[in-house]
Amino acid sequence: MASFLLRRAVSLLPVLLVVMTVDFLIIHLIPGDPASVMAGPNATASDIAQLRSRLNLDLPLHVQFVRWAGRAVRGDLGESLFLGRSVNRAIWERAEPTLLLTIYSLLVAVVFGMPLGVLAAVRPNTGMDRGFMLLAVLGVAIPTFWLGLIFIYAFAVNLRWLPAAGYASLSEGFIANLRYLTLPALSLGLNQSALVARMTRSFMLEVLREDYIRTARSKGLAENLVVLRHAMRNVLVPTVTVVGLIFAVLLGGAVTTEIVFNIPGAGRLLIDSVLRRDYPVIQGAVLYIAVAFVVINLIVDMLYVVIDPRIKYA
Amino acid sequence: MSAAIGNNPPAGSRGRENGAARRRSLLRRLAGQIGPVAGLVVLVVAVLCSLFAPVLTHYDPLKLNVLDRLSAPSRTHLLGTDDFGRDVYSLVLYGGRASLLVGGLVMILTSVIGVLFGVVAGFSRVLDNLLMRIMDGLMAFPAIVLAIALMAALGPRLSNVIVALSIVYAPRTARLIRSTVVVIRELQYVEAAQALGAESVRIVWRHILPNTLAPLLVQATFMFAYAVLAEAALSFLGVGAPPYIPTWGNIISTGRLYIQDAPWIIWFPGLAIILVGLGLNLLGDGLRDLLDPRFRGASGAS
Repeated sequence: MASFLLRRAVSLLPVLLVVMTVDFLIIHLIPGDPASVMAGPNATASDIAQLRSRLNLDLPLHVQFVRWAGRAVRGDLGESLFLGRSVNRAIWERAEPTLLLTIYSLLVAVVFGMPLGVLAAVRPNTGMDRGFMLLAVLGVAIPTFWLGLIFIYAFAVNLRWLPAAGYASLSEGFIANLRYLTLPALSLGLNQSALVARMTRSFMLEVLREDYIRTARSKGLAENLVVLRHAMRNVLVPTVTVVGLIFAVLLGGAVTTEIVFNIPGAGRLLIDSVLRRDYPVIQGAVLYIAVAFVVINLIVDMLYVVIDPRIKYA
Repeated sequence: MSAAIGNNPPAGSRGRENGAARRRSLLRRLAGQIGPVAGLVVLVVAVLCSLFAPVLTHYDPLKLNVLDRLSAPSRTHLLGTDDFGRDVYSLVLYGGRASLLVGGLVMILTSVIGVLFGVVAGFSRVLDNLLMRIMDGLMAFPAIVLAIALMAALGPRLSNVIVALSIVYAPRTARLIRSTVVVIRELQYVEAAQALGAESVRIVWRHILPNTLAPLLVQATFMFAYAVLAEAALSFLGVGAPPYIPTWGNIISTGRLYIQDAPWIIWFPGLAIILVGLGLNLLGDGLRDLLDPRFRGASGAS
């Protein structure tokens, strides 16, 4: 088992190398002179020269990469050009809202998606099944940011149930935190619950055809026990992979949702940094998100092996 | 609950419909063949509406009219006006031009790049590993985050949106094509062609490429849908098309500030995005069912 985990982790190294290369190249894709673009229109020639040497932009490309990657691996992502602090600090200060938003929306996706998928699967080809699946297709087509705005219009502006925008951190109390994140989590998570429902439905349909389900039925077990006790367990295994995939998608989606609801998270930091050309922060935030994405997928792969004893470690 | 399950067909007949039925279940059962046809109709109508925008409206979408700002939908302004007094109906029609242009071009570019890289990777064992690791690396970023990063570097231009989204989505197509090619490569008729002394280029062109068309067509439809959504998100975030170009995302982006007084500004471009997305998804799912046999052979190996 340990050797499996190790091998699985090592297989990620090439992926991480590509991720870092792409992230590094962002600065070098800037048309013209990156240093003068970053320094802004009002910068003097000496400002630009200073910035260029600070970011090692005058060295050969491969030397720059080795230096940048060497520091990044040790957790040093440089200094923000605007915030007067390290990129690391800037990102960690903004991590809480993003993580909580992602987790809450994951809960929304699972809590809405799984029951819908199971219900659709146990009554295949009925009106309800078709209705759910039409909803699922619709869910994929609705942009999350638009749904968020509609929620603001309906539940915040008109009904005044929840705040329209802003954020209260966990330290100000769980309820306050939840009040601010409910609409964002719904708008982000419902979209993905469509995917969870589709997947759960197809896994469930597959499992319900297995021999042991027929055995359970023929020994006279009540149908809902067959579904919930026997089938559900085996549906949960593949669903874990989907949930991991969705977690990663939600992490990306959090960027748009944070802008819609004006939440001071890492996604908001990324967009603000793009607008003020704070490239070290852009690189840092993108690297953090990509590495989180890779690590989550690794964890999911491992969970899959742990949960399902039939899967060999090889 | 248990009564409903009792109505299921007996296990024997269910076993037969296993693979194919499950895959095609969603939309074929939803609407028979109506789904993909409806999807295609929606798409064609959307394209025609944006092409013939000048005929369908006599307002210039960029003409400012401060006196008419934020007026509700009425007979003069069918879908109301925005904060500059621009006619929302005209904005949505003209906005479709940019949004659909991005979607269509990204679809074409990802298909071309995807086929090129996929065929090379699937056919050359030397380059396979290298190319696929690069594709894996690009796919390790959440799509929207990589798109934002590329836009940050390239700058806010409509052409850059097309370039960025093509880089983001091409690896998905490349991977699919590669897995198709790897299956076909091992088939007997390819071996026969090789035995007859056919050159690699000829084998790829005559025997392999035609077999990638079916999965490519399905994939391209979904790429179009992804690109329209992603373009809207980028514009909404302010890092996509510049604000003076009407796109569905840009209209929503300005409209969000007036959500309380003028919700119609965000309603209609949003509905346009949803309709096009729904149409493309219906079309893609329908095509997949239609082309099922070959598609299944390809995806089974991936």
